Amino acid sequence: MAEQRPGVKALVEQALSVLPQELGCDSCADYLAAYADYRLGGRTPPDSLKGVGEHLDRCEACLEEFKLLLDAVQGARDSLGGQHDL
Amino acid sequence: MADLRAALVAGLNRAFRQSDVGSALIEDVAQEALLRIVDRVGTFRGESRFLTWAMAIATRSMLSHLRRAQWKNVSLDEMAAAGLIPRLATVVSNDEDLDRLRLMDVVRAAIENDLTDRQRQIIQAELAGVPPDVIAERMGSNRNAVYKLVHDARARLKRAILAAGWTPDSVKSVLKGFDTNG
Repeated sequence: MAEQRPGVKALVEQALSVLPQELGCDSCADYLAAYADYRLGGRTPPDSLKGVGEHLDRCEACLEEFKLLLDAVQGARDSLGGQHDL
Repeated sequence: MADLRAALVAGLNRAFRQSDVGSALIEDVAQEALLRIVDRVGTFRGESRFLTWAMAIATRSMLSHLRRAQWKNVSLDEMAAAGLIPRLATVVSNDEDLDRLRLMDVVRAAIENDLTDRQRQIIQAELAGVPPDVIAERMGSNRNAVYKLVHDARARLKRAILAAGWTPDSVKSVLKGFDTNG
């Protein structure tokens, strides 16, 4: 059995799927709330947010943040009795 | 304001329920986030619901806090050293293992020879599981700049993998073995 380390597979996949232009993490964060609202509403995000989805496909740290945000928003909404906003 | 604070606390409790986060830390981060939200409210562009925007700030604050705590007192050099891909065992039991060894050799050689020092340091730190915000903090940089270095490094690794005769399909086939054997 060949030795491997965690993360190498992800690195190779990310390398092969690299795009000529990608959003950076801070730029992704700027639009994460808008992207989350589309996903929470079960709607497809518009083309203007395409870069956010592409970044999340390639950045595990931002994907983790995004998943936590979805969960957090649900928790916040529940605390407001199901209201979607303040 | 009290409603927003309560919503932030509820959201953080829900999102971080599986982390080892005490209620005191949740309250502290919610309060810190509240101040940040008040400070930045003029930048809210209305592209999302206000609650989602505010929750994004609070979630990021908590995540940054946890990530910084996890990597506290670890230098960037130590992070990079933890992500070194080791030389692989030379005894293999089948062709699939041999292919994986060959691919790993290409990746390791490309990291060693084709990346700049900065790119190598960041890629190895990422392999060690260090998130980009922590790397950025150590470098005195920002996440966009770190991601640009990661992006350029990945492009160089891709070129090296393809130049070594691998195709996207052949790599995909070998990567499948990572799922069952990795």
